Amino acid sequence: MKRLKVDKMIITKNNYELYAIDYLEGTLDVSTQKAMDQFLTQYPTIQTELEEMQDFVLIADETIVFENKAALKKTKSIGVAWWKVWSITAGLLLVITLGLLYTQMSTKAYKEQIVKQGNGVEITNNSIEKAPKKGVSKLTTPKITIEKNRVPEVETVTPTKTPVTVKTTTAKTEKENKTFNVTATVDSEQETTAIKTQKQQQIIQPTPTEKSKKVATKKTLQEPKKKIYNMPMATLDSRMIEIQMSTESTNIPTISQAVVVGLALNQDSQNTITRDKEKSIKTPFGKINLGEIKEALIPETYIASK
Amino acid sequence: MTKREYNTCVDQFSDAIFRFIVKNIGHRADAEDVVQTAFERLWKVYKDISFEKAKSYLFTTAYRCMIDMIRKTKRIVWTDEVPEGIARNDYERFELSEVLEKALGKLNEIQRSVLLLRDYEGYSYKEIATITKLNESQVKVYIFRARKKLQLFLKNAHEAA
Repeated sequence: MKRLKVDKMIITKNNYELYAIDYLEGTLDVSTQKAMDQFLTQYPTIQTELEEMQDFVLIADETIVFENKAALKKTKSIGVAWWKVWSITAGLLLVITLGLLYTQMSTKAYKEQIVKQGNGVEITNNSIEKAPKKGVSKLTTPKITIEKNRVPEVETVTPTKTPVTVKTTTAKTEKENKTFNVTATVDSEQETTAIKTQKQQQIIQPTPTEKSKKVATKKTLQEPKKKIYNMPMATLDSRMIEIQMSTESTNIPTISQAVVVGLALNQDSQNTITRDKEKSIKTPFGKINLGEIKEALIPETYIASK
Repeated sequence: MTKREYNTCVDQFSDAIFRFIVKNIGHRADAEDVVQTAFERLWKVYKDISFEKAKSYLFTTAYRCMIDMIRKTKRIVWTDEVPEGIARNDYERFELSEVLEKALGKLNEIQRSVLLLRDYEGYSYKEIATITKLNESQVKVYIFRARKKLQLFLKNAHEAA
């Protein structure tokens, strides 16, 4: 095997700077140190320069300092403060959201509870309009004549959820054979209660006085549902409400009784009761324009008293 | 590196970096900007850098910022000429450190940087080579030439005095 021959290191004026620092610091290897010594013997001026540079070291000026260190530092408090701010904000938002949800749920549950505990029927201004329309299209016999004071008998009662028609018949006489249809809108359960209440109140006699009118009106306002189911509905002419009373009857209904029904009715000398279409009345269902009324309510108690 | 170690870096290295830059460009306000930039860059990556390497990172960043600044502003005019000496009045008026300050101004950008890194910060030639993107031999030659110039400047100054 042939060995490569390494050339002897030669230091000249062109390359001595490469070894000068290591020469000054004494870190040259042996062969390079010998080559450097040999070079310096040839150039004493360079040797003098190197000797003068032997201990030349710059010393840092400690008086020069960076004064704005605080601006560079990242303090923990700033980070924690932001963390706290975000945490508190998130917490508040969560509490507010939960509070709103709870309030909404509570309100909804409360409403449902009220509906369940109540009569199960919401009375609105449209209650009358929502009354069954059966028979309305055949409003050709609006005149109702009451001849005798006979208690009407309830013939059939069928609890259903659909509007039902309760046929009430008055007593028949030789001269007149008068019947009229009475319609009512009830739910199955409420209907049963209504019929029972009707039977119980058949013996009640109304006292046609101003006081009783006010009391009845108040009761109507406080207990709208009972009033509704105690009063069968009479189908009337859409153009005019007219209830003609028989002159033979000894107990002629008075205006006060008619008002109890919930209609502002007029009674003339012929005992004809008509409505004033220009007027409006306050009913348990709210303010109603008489001109819009297509059905009238007649209290069962009134009929029973005749 | 943790946040606490980053703050330790501020305490330990900000003065040295500031001094290094001031000695290089001779302008305190610009030096403050360079220091601030260096630490901002360190803060962006402090989680990925160990505390042991933070000093080298800071000096490298500061050095490169300084080079960019010098090239943009051209505030400093470099000269390779050996100083012919300073006036007697100058020598009398200034202390030795101030004469050295003036002598440093006679060095070129690279010579001054490598000499300051070596003498002020005690970096090894290898570390200086890393910071300045030179090789070790180049660093040694630049440092030797820088010392030689300073030696000659001071010698002339002394003889003039």
